[in-house]
Amino acid sequence: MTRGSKDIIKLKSLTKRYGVGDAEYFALKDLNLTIKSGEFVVIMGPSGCGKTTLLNMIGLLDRPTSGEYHFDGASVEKISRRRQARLRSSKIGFIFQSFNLIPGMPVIDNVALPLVYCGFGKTRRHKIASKILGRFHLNEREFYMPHQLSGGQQQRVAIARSLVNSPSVILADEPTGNLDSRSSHIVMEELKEIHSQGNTIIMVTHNANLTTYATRVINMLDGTIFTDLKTVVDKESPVPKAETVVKKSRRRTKERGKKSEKKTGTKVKKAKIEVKED
Amino acid sequence: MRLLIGNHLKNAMDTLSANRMRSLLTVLGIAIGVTSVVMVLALSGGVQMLVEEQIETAGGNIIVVRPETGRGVGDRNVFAQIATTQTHVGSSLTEIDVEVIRKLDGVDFVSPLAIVEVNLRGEHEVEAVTVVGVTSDLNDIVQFPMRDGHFLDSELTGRTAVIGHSLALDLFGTASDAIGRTVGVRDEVFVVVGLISELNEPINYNNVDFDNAMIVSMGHAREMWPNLQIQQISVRTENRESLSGIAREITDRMMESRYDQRDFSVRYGADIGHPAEDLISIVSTMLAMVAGVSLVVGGIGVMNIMLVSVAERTHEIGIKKAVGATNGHVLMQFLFEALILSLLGGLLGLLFGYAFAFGASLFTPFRPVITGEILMVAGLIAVAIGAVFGCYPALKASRKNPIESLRHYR
Repeated sequence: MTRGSKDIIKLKSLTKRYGVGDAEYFALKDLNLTIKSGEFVVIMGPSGCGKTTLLNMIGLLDRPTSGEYHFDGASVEKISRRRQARLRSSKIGFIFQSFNLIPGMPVIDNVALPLVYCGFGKTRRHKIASKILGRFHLNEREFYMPHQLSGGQQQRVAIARSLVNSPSVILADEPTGNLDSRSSHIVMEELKEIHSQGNTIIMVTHNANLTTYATRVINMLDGTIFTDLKTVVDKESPVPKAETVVKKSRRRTKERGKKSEKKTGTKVKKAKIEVKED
Repeated sequence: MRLLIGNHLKNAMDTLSANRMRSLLTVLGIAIGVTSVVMVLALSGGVQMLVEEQIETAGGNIIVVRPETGRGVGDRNVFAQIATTQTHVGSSLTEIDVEVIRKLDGVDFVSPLAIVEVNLRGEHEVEAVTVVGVTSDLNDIVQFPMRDGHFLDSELTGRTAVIGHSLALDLFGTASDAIGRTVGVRDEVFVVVGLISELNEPINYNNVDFDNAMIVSMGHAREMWPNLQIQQISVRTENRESLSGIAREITDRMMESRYDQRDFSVRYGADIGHPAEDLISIVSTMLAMVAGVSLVVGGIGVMNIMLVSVAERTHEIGIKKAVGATNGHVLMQFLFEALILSLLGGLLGLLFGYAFAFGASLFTPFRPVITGEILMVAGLIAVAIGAVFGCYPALKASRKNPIESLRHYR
């Protein structure tokens, strides 16, 4: 597991405003965030705090009202939509809560979809997609339609799709939100596996249990980062610095700190999952 | 931007076959429009072909001179043209023109065609028969197949006439012994000296249906109807190589005698058949307009169904944009779908159009023509309809916000 120290995502006083006058509302307010490659970031927070907006912003689906966004070292908040789309197809993988596979398109074509927009030929697309699906043990399902698969399988297909272009960053918006605990577990294990191979993952979730998979947990409130904590001690990363930590969060941090002292990161995860499955 | 044509094609075919009924109905809308256009073009092309063939079989060395003005009021008015297209009320051609042309080098035969419609009396009375005043040269130009007797002779001074096959049946109830019988015109009597075999060529470059006409000499016609109008002067040249030269010379000479006023047209070759001014061209233009209206209706059908398709697939658009489709990709995808719809319509319309044209030709003397031109026009129409009416839905699809589209559920 190599942890590059390269900043893959760098947000500087990013603001997203909706409406004007009295209806003015900030989905994101002066948000600063730097994510290094190889991190597994979990973003949490109450609904309406701007998690998904942030994720869409990072995924170049949305444009900020103001602020700077450097993706992979280049400023991208003002580049043309076409170039943003190209970045999405080549460097960003999306995983959604509702899987978002295209109905009426076989699994393999769904997985290969991002490659279409990268300009790969059909044979090559299918080859790559098939290889990825093999990693998820879905080879026999290649020519199934999405509706013939279980939720867990569909989400694994979606994960395969997000990986097919070997992206720099994978964005997951509540990937387990529509799944039962068993499927959630499988999906999260897959994500863990992907992360262990060196992928950067940014995940939005409501489920606090899933923070055990993360190397970094960000809590958001009202469009800004409330707490930002590293869960796994990483020699290369600086010691987590909690700027505005209220009592409750501090307590949680302490607990987590204790645990990570006792056990290694993976063991913590296992323990957590056992608890959850009970 | 990568075009991904193969992808768009497959995509479009998948979608269209997934909504078979809907696609079929939309295609049918286009097909009906294209059908009417193809039918009109094929039939009017057939008419032109027919005349061209006649000229070809006659040797191809025919020049016709027709008056350009004197059609009464409103020359440029389509409706006025329809009402007056066949007969020129005040023709600009005169017997002097005939003599001028006759004297030119390379001109073999010249005949005026002066047309009047009168009632004839044989054994039966026949109303409104076309009587054509000509010179004996006409037979050398047209080369009538004679069933009985002979054509008008310049030597003969008596009032003689040559009649068409159908007219003989109408006048005498029989075509077998018409020769020698008399036809009454007003107070005068014409003796039938010739009977033309059945021609079945109601459309020809002389604009006279000789099956239903009585041909008399120009002199006699002038005596009976002093203000007779010459509707056309038909000319046969020595050979076809000199056609253009002689046509130019005719033009020059006639312009001279008219103080450079151009009130006639000189045509030869394929130009004669070209129905630029004939009833057929006007009718076909109007039919084409009507067909155009039905094409617009078909196009609106395409637009409608494409809008439905875009609305139905908003979520899909969202997904595609999220995984990296540009606006251009989405635009092309939907544009392709519209194009395929309209192209299928064009193809179907082409088939229908020819089927109907051949059906209609069973009742007409001419056959519809299939030319590359018509195929191209049908194809272009289809593509244009698809592009024009598919544009708005495709633009709408491409401009959808990916986030909102992802939230959109069916």
